[in-house]
Amino acid sequence: MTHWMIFWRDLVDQMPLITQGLLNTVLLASTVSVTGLLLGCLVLYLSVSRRAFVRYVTKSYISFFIGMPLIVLLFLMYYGAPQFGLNLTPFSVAVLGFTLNVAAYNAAYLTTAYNGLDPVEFDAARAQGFSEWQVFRLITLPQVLRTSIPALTNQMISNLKDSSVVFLIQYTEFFARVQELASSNFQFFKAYMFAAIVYLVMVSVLVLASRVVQRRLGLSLV
Amino acid sequence: MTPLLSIRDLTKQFDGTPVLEGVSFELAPGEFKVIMGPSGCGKSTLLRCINRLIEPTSGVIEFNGQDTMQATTDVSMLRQQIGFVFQQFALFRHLTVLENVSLALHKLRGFSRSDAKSRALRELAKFGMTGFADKFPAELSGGQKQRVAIARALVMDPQVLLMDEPTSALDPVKSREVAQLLRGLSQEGVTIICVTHDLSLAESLSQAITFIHNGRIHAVGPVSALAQRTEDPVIRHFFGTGSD
Repeated sequence: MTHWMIFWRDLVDQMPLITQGLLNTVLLASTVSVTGLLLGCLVLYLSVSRRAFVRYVTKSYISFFIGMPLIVLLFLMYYGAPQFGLNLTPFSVAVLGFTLNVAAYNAAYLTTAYNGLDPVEFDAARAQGFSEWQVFRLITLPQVLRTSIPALTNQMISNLKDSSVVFLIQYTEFFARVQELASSNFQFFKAYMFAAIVYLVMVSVLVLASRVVQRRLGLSLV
Repeated sequence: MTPLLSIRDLTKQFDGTPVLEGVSFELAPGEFKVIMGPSGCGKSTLLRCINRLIEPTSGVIEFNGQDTMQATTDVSMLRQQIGFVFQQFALFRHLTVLENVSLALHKLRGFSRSDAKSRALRELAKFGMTGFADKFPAELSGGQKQRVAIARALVMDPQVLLMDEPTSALDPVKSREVAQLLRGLSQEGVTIICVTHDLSLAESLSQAITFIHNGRIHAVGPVSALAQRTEDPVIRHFFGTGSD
């Protein structure tokens, strides 16, 4: 009982820092979810280009960043780049590294959805006079995004969970604050269970939101 | 009368394999041209060359006296004047019927969203599809999809309507309905090129057909007259007439 009291007292004491860490986590996860999706869409657009070279470059990008562990990429940029005079803040490195990594995964999901579309719809749009960019924006993208909602949701969940690694590049997010809490009173199990429950709640909110979106868009894909 | 469309010596090769060879014909305003031929003879490629969905290898395509193959040709504007109805209808499945028909008016012609929808509804009304405006393509029958596809092409007021196998995905009853609809459009003065390998459709639509074989115009004439040419093995094989 005493241990619980110590843990709760420290938790309340450090709640402002933990809340700030939580906000940093949400800020990072939401930022890279948006930037990763935008870059993923751009990579998809380029990967279906009529130019073979552009397709080759974008497919290489996807393979390279899916193949590279995120932590290695973050360490390269945060600890390696300063040796060449490039000093970035932890948040910048986190956003940049995550975006490059997440965009590659998103592009792969979107490409899978794209392969399921009927190409004659693209021809029909071109035949009406739409430009290639309009065909992509009005016909291709809305359909691949809707089809990819489950995969994109999974990626957002991964972004949220994986954001805990950025404390290794000095970005004080939620998990870093929980570690500080644990090391202040040595109640490791309680502190990490607390972290697990908070992550679970945030993931559940994401999953519920995704289900609502899917339900609202479901009719058009019948 | 100046032809609306003039095609001279059109050829198309895919990886060196000829698909169209020296195709030439003219199309007058208001004319209903039916092009027939066996599968793979180049009919669909010909239609796609006309609105530059496919770039011809050589030849001249003039639309309203203008060479469409010039680098300065505004391809988007050209395509807006040439309606195209695809074999499998090719409706945008994420959009409702009304959105399918109004999209190009809004995005390409600059109509406001509400004006585009009003005009699209008027076009749908001509085809008895107003009640389906809020449906998605997956909720329509083949015949209904075909009507929407035609409405989508005609709402742009094209000068010519290209139709690729308009009945191939329909049952006989719906095919007859579409044939009747096309005859109605022709009587209203719509210029049409219809590609088909449906003999009864061809016979019901036009007095003379253009028969393509191996990428070349093989014969031109009424279906009944062509069917009599039993000495021609190509015709005999396609029409199933005489001894083979």
